[in-house]
Amino acid sequence: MRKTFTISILLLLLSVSLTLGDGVLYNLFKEGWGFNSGEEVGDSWGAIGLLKPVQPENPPLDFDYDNFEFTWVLQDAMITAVEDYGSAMVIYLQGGSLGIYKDASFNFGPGSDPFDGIISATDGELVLGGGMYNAVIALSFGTETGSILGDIFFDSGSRLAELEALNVSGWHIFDGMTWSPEVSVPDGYHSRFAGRIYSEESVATLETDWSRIKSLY
Amino acid sequence: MALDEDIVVDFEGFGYEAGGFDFSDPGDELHLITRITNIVAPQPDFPYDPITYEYTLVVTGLISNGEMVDGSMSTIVYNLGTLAIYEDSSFNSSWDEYPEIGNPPSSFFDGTLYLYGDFTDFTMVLFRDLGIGSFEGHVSLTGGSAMDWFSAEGYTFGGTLIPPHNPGIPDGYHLSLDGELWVEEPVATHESTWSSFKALY
Repeated sequence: MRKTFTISILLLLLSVSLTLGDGVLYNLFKEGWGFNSGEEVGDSWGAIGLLKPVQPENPPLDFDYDNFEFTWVLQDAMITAVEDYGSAMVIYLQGGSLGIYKDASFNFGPGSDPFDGIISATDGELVLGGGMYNAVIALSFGTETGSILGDIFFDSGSRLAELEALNVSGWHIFDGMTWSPEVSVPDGYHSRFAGRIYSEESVATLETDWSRIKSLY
Repeated sequence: MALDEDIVVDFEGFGYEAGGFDFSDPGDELHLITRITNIVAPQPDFPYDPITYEYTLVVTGLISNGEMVDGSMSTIVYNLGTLAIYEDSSFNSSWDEYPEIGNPPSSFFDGTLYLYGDFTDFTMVLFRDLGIGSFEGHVSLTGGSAMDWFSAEGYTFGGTLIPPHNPGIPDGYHLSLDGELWVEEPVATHESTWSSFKALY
C-alpha cells in the first residue's frame, strides 16, 4: 500500500516537474561554419564556431566572455543514410563529438581549411565535451538553407560538474544553416551555422521537486 | 561580401501563425517574436549596448501563399511582411504575454524603433516528419534610429523547430527559431565613393 502510494506521489511530482519545466531553456548561442567530406554514406560532417554571450546570462553556464574566447567543435559525425528528393536532401548522422573550449588567446578563425580551423578552436581548456547521437540534417537546395538537430551527452570537461541537476544527456544541438552567397562562408566550408546548444531541463524545477520528495519522509 | 564588412544580428525566439501552424493556408499571417542575443559590427562605436538595453526583433505581416508539399518537404512562400528592431531599457520582453495576430505581445514592441524595413521575399521550408526547418528572406531597410549604420538591403536566415520538438515553446506559439540578419555596413560604400570622387582631380 505504502509502495503504491509512494509511486503515485512520485508520478504526481514528475508530472508537476514536467509542467513547471516547460518554457525553461538553458542555451548556449553560437555561430559557426559547417564542413563535410561529401554528402554520401560514409562521408563525415563537422562544424566549428564561437559561443556568444547571451543577455541576460543563462546560468549555470555563465562564461567569462570578456577575458576568454569560447569555441565549439563538432567533428567526426558519419553519414549513415541519405534521402535525396532532388530539391531537398535529408542526411542521417551517427557518432561525432562536441567540444566546448575556453581560450584566452582569442585566436579562433576558419584558417585556410577546416583542419586549420579545428586547430584554432580546440586549443585551450575543454570546458564541456560529449558525444552526439541521433543527428539529422535537412537541406533545401531551392532556398540554400537547412538545419541540423542532434542529441548531446556531455561526459567530460572542466565545468561538467556545474551542470548540477541538469541531466547531462538532456542536451541538444540545433542550427539553421545557409550557403547563400549573401553570407560569409570561408573557403573549404559548406555553410554558415546559427543556432544553439540547449537543454529543456530546469535546475530550479528539479531542485524544487527533490525538496518536496524529501519533505514527505 | 566579406565578413568584416557585415553587421551580423543574432536572434532567437518563437513564432505563431493565424489559425495554427499544422498546415499553412493561403492568407494566414505569420509573426516571429524574438530577442536579439548578439550584434557583431565592424565599427567600434556601433550603437549596440546590451548591458543598458534589450533589443527585440519582430517580424509581422508575412502572408502565406499556402503550403506546397513535395514528399517530406513543405515550402511556404510569404508575401509582404515587416521587420522591426526595438531598443528598450526596461528589459520587459516576455513570451508569457499571450500572442495574437491582432494583438502581438506588446513587451517586444516598446522602446525606441532602432531599425525597420519591409520584406521583399520570405520563404520557410519545413520537414514536418523530422520537426525541423529553415527560413530565408530579404528585407529592404528604410528607417530607425540606427539606420545610418546599416546599408539598405539585408538578408536573414535561420532554423526552426516545430512539433514534435518543443524546446520551451510558450502557449500561443507554434515554432521556435534561431536566426541571423546580415546587413552590409554603408561605410565601405562611402569610402569607395570618396575615392572615386578624389580620382577625378
